[in-house]
Amino acid sequence: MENIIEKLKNLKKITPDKDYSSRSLSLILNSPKTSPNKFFEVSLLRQKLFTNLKLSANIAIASILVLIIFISALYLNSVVSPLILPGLDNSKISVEAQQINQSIDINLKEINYHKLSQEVTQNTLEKISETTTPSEAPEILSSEGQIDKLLEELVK
Amino acid sequence: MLENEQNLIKRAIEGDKEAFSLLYSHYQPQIYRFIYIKVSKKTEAEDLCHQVFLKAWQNIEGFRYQRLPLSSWLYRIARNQVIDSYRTKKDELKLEEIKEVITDNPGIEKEIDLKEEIKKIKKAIEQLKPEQQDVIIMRYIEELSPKEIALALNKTPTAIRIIQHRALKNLRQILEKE
Repeated sequence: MENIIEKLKNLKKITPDKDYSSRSLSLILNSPKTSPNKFFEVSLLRQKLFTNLKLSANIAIASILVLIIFISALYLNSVVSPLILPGLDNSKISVEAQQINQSIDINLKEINYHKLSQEVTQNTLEKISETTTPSEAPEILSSEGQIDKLLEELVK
Repeated sequence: MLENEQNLIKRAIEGDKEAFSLLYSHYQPQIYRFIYIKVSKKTEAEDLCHQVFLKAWQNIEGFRYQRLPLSSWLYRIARNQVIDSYRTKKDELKLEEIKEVITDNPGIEKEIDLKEEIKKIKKAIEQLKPEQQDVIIMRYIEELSPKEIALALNKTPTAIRIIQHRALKNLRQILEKE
């Protein structure tokens, strides 16, 4: 590696022609000087303009992105909003709850009916077993009337 | 860095030709070498080097706002000049002209081996990437600090060290092949 660096240092022996150098310097120093301040101002202005353009472009891109996000959010809100989901609609829920209540009421009435009829039937059967004919057990007849009443209520 | 450089720059900004001449004498050889190694054509190197210092003289007022050493600023101008010349015309490399350049120096006129050696290393440098060429020339031929090179090439000193390492590695491989 050091050998390469030494070789590279040899290139320092390349020097410009002395006549050329003095001629070039003379031409440079006698050249009409452009207004450097103007040149610098122009370059500075260009740089500022470029920076401003870059900033404006960044702001524009950011605004477009925000707008896209906003529109997407609105769209998603309208499509999959929890307020629009049928499972979360209050009126539908109350209707459904009422329907469930009604079916529960019906079931309870049926249960009551079955319970009563079971008791009546049991009593009647006990009495029948004690007597031989229905005329000897007048409660049977009244129980039958009771059953009819219950049946009518259920039909209502 | 030239002794009393800041004062010379200040005077040159004010239009003092003598101050600029001193700066020119100090920096012109290294800027010329930098350009010459890259373009490989004496006349083109002379022309481009002249353009670099003409621009420097005409725009030296703007230098005070640059916040970088004069050497880095000059290398930056030189590099842009070389890039512009590459864009406008892509001449074939003429290594024969090395003889012409070195013969101009009486001290090494008879050193044929050295000329051959220089030709060889120059040819190897030309095979590197432009960025690696810049770093090799500035670091090992002109012995600029990584910081100065970084400012000239608009990179970080760490990036310069990485480029330098790769450039040396590539250069060694190229020289070993030949």
